[in-house]
Amino acid sequence: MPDKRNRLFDPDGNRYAVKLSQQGLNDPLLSSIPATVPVFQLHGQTVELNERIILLGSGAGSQCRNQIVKVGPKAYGLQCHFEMTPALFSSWLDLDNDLRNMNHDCLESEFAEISERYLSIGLTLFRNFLRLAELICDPLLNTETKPFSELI
Amino acid sequence: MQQHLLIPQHFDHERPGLLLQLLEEHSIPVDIVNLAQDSISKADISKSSAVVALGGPRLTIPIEPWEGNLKT
Repeated sequence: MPDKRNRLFDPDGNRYAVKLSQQGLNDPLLSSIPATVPVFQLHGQTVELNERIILLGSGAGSQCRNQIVKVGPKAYGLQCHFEMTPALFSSWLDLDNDLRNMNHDCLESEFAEISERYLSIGLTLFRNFLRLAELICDPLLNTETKPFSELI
Repeated sequence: MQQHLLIPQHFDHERPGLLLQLLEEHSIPVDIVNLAQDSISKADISKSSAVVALGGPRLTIPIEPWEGNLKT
């Protein structure tokens, strides 16, 4: 399990980050995303890979290693919380059992340091996902267009 | 097929946050399925144009039965 004192830094004081694999760098979901991104980590487990899962991004060290996975042409799992917003972060401080007992001033200050970049990365990633899902238009993105039901 | 997004959610306090903002901004229909209370069927995923699991690794468990749907 990760250090319970903080969800932004590991026990050695290094900021939690996810590094994209070569497949991640080439995947449309992660287009225009930096090769290494800081993450907020609210978990101590990791996804176990199998031959059907493609690893797109991983954390450093042995904890929470497999963070971004692809399980189908338009199916992804994101263990790191790119959906995080400042409002969501604040609500979790009171709702999550681990976060409730941490120093909230410290956590909010440390999250504020990365929040602008984090939001920018999250927006880029989710826009990529919505383009990939054909839920918003992007003539520049060339992706598979069949729905799941036609991919069997 | 109507474009539609399915988001499995495991923990009650976890929300799609930034993704939901974008979905609302673009008026995109979405089903957020709370896995603590509901289940997801093969039919659910077949009618969806994409799926994203946010948060904990337990969210990947329901993906296993969908293997046939997710193959290229």
